[in-house]
Amino acid sequence: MISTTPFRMREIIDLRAVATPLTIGVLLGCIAAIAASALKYPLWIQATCVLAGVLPAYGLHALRILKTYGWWWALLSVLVAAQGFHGIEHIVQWIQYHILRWPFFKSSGIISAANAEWVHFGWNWIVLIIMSILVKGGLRNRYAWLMLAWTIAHTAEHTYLMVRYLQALSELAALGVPNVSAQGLPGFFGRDGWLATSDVTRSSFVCRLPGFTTAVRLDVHFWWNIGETGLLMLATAYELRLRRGAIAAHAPTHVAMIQAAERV
Amino acid sequence: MHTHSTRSLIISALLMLTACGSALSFVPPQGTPVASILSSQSFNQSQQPCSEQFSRIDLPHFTSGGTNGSALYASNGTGVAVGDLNGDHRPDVVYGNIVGTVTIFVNDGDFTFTPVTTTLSDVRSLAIVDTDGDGTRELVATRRFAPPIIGTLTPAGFTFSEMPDVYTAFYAMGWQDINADGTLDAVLGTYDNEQLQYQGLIFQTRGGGGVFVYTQENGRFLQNRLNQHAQALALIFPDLNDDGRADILVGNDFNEPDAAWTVTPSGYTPIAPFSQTTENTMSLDYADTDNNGVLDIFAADMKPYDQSVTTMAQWLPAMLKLTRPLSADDPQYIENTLQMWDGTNWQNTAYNLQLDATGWSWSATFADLDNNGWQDLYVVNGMKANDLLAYLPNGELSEDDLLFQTSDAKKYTITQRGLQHTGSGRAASMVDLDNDGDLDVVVNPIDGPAQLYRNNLCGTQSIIMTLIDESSRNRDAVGAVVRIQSPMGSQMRSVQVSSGYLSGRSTTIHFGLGTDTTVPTMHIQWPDGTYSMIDSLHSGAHYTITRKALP
Repeated sequence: MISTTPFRMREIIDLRAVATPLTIGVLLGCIAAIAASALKYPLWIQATCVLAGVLPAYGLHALRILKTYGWWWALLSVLVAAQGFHGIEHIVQWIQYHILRWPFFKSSGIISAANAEWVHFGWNWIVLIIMSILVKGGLRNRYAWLMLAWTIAHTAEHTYLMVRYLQALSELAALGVPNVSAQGLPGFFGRDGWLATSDVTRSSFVCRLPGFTTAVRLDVHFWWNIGETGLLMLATAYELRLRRGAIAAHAPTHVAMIQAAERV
Repeated sequence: MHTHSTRSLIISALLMLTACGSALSFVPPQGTPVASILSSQSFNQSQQPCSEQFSRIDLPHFTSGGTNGSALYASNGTGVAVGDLNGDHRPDVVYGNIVGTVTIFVNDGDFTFTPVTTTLSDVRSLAIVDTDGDGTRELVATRRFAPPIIGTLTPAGFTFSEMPDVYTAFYAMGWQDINADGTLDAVLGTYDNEQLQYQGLIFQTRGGGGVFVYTQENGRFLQNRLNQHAQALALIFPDLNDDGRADILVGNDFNEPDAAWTVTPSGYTPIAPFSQTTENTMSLDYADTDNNGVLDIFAADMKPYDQSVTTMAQWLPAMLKLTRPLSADDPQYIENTLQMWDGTNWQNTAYNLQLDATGWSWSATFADLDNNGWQDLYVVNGMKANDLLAYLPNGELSEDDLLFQTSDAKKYTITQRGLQHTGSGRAASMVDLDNDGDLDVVVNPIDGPAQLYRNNLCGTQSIIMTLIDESSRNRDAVGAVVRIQSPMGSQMRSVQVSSGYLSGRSTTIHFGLGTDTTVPTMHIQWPDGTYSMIDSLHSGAHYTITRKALP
């Protein structure tokens, strides 16, 4: 039976109910990370070990939300938490580049160091798919629509990057140098991106729009994610407010949402 | 056929003052008049039929980097120099070589040349300079594994001798009256990576490299070493601190930061004038690009002008070998810079002007090729190295040389004028070879024939000017700055003997005038800081302005 108690934002990260599996998972993850470090595996593998330790506990947590509030809130919880984690990845990149002054190509965050193109391409498609399901399932406030549009644009840029990345790998293989990384090529926006260098925009004011054609790729995607996270938070908070209002008024939309969740 | 209408007249209303002027803010102060002689020679009346194209001529000289193709660092190529070597008032052209020998093309007029082969080989930078102020210019060359050499024209031909008091193999070279004593001095920079490859670590125990100033005194060159390391590919003398005096700027390859020194009577002070610089500086040039009376500095780097996947794949393996990651607060970026003085600081404007990416650039030179009163930018590029680029066909990264034309310095357009050759260009220089009032282009590629581009662009006016300073031993007035007022703004030119990459340039000065036929006033700031002013110059003439020795 789905609860009619209002879902609260803090429940997304309130892991007290899964404290034991979380503690065990983190411990095991840390041990694996230390072992990986001792074996001189790169940082992203060590971080993945810790993350892998956390995931089962968060899975249980999501399952609890699913049982209590329904699939829609569980999915939203997973998205908000994971987007938050992804935001941290971008903040780490930003700190590496702007605060620690690391070289651009080394400022690849934690997990993205594995392969920045695949990690971010995969992540953004997952976000787009989840967001589309949530919208279809009723997340239709103005911020949600903005978030969906933002996500589509962001994913399109990552798809463009991925296509160029794969094409570059193919070209490199054809030249007989398959072991060269082609990560980090400019995308649509940013310094040396399509907008800045295309023959279509060349010599027009568009090709030198501040920020859009001058920011480095790391900053471009930092702001993509700031926007994405911000809109997701706004959309979620707005939805919670709507839900609280609906419960108070016993609004039919709310009842319909709960019924839809129960059907799933 | 030349029309000689040489006339000599004394222009007496010229100003002289003590050396206190500012090169960046031109207001000629009052002073004592100094006599100069002005003579003019009309341009060639039998001009070629005009078109919108340069026409290319390949000369019988082949610059070769190796018998089996070029490899690093022979693939860096060699220089070219233009200037009147034999005193017949026609600029000659000298093409350097690595494996083969240097060829001098003596200008016979009407775009015909007689090749003169020398025994000189393995050279880098070339310049035609009157080093000793005797009125005859010499050919000066830096060499890969030997000290610089000076070639003097004698009735029997060229005789070469090593530059006295210089014992190091240098790469980049510049000549300027650095200590303001009226004689030309040499500034030379080493290319340490090549020396380390050739000599091994013994290079350091033999003294290593760096940037050296050789001031000339009584025929001797006195050494002043400015630093201990250099990867110097280019060297120029802009005024970096707005004190009216030429300073030293050295462009370094391989992430070695560019080096700069201000020059004062008390010595040389290292400075870092730019907040953003190139990372692999291939070429340096300076010119007043926006006609505001202030010189701007262009540095070329290696950045693909086309971001297509195919191009990027060709570049990536080589760039990963040649460059190393730099921290975010490092001022070096792998892209061209155009530094413009805002009155307080230098600001890089290359990216905003879309001049930041010109391929694997070598010589990048400003010149008003279309005589419209605005300086265009010509960049030769491409790379050929059968070790570094072994993954590419013939070990060659092939790119179109680029001509950026402008009519306001706010927007540069890449244009097809017959200069977009895909050969692997290295050195380049501009000079009016056929005395028709427009600048022709000379390019020395690696593993290719020497190239001349005859300027056939239509219409518009110009004047050309040669300064002779008989009051000093810097007879070609190297370092002098000439300004005119025109509808396009205050045009400024400086007399230089080298710029770009390994390229010697003519000491003649060229002004494009657009449709104007007269120049009301021209100001000359001589290398010692004195000023001259000349009224009513007419287009279509080559003026020779002689500053007589003071009594």
